[in-house]
Amino acid sequence: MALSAGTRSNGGSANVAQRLQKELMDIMTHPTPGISAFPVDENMTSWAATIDGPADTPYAGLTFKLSMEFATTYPYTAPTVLFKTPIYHPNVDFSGRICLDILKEKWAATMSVSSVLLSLQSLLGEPNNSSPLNGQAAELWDKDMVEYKRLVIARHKNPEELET
Amino acid sequence: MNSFDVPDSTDWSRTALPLFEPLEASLRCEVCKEFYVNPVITTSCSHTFCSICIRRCLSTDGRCPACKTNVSTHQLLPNIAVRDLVKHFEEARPKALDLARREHNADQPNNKRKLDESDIEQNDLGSRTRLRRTRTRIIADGLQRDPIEVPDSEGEDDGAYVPDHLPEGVVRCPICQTPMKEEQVFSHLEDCPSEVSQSAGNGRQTRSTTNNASSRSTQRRQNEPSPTPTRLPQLNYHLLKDVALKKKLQELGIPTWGKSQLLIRRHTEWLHLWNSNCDSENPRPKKQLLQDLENWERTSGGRAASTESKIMQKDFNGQMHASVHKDQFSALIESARKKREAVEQDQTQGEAHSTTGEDSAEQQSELQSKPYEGNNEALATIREKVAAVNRSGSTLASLEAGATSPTTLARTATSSHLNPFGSPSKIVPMFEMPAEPVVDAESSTTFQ
Repeated sequence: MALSAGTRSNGGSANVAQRLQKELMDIMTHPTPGISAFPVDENMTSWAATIDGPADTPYAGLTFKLSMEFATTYPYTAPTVLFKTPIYHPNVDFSGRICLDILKEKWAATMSVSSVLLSLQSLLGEPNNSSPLNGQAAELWDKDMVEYKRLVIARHKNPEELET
Repeated sequence: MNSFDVPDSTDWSRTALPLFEPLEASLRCEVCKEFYVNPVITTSCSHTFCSICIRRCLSTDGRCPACKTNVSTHQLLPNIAVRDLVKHFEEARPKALDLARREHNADQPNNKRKLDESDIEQNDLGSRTRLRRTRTRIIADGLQRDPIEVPDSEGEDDGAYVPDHLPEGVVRCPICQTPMKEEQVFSHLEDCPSEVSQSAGNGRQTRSTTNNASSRSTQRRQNEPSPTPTRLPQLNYHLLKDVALKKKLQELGIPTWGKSQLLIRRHTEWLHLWNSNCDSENPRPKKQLLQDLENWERTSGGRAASTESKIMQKDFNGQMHASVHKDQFSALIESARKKREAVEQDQTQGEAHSTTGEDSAEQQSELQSKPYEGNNEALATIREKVAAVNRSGSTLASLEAGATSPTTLARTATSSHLNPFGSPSKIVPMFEMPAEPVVDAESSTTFQ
């Protein structure tokens, strides 16, 4: 406790680790169904996460792996989030980069790992088709849902397949 | 790092007082998730954050991180009520958490009583009657565990409660808490043993922070007799040339090295540190702020390992990297080879002379044509092995050794003959475990 005031104000990576640790504890003690996240290195700056595709969307029943990287300026700047599982989606390009406002200009320091993952989960069901990274997907979403779904399944790989 | 016992609001979730979790969460800043430090409220949207957190947010974004309203730094006012809440909650927390955990681990038929207890904590002020009520009930129940006593003695050092527990006419010294007769207090105050807090002036504050938690703040005040600092204005960096900016930094007494981009970032951070300190009840001396700035410099400022190296860029050019750092890699390879040769040499010698006795190998190595160098390297490898064995238990020690790197590294560079490049301090972030070569090379020099 005495530590907290002393180590607080230095703005360093120790603070990043502390804040992320609190987020981790929050995720562990209040797990959200369909979402998981855990650090992959010991200084906590790099996490692996999964989200389940929401029901009633073409992504239902699929699980997607993501990577999250936190800069020393976190939480003042957004984490870098990438889809590791190949995903067919209007706002995700073929190398997994995501176009989402809260990961760019709409980021706020009060957001957290779990709020980001929740936003991404809802992005799966509600793509922003006005500024697509994958134009074909944006078009198909409105025109041909059956074909869209076929492409989603075709592109998806299970996490186990990815490991090899 | 001891980072795995960071206190957190989730500490309450599996105790007898789960309702304390949201309570504690609301006393923590939404940005840093710590207890509010120098909380300020935004006058435009009424959100509260740590002074330094909101200042950092505003300098990146200019908007409230909670509701995205436009806020400027002069719309921040200290939130004194929250500050006091946090202070008192933090004081009461360890004991309360301990109690709640023990209570939870014991049998759990006492839910009612626990609720009462939490009420006491929450309503702290002005709940004297309730306090008495719970107590009598507890006694009636025949449950006289010591935990129940604690909240009054620990959390409420505010003088107002003192008469409750003491016979009539007896009060506690507001500084050292010794009970005494009311008339004696003033004469006692003249020579109260805990003079530190007495000399710190300002009666109200001394009284409210008397107990254990106070030592920190009083020490601070001793260091510098509270000059109420004034907030620094923001600069329009676009209108300032490098020279002018450097001059500004010099006037403020902060480092002036680096490119203009770094100067701007450093000045911004200094504004954060300085101005948030102005929102504090007990402002810290400038020396400590400079220390904080130094920390910032190491972790995210000019001396930080560039963030790019941590997060592999999409377009990271591996070949380029390899060619740029080729001589460093080859030097490392060379040193590794030399070490291995030394080990092999050592082993063959040991086998050849095994008949002459146990310690002959060591004697032999001294009798070599180049005894000095061979011995030195052999010792280095032995040292390394010992270090490797110990390493599992002593990561912390090696970390500390790494922290002192600039000087020790300079020494290794001169002693090992294997560093053709000039700036050893640059090597540290490049190769992830600086502690190892530092430790063994140094010990080898001390061996000579």
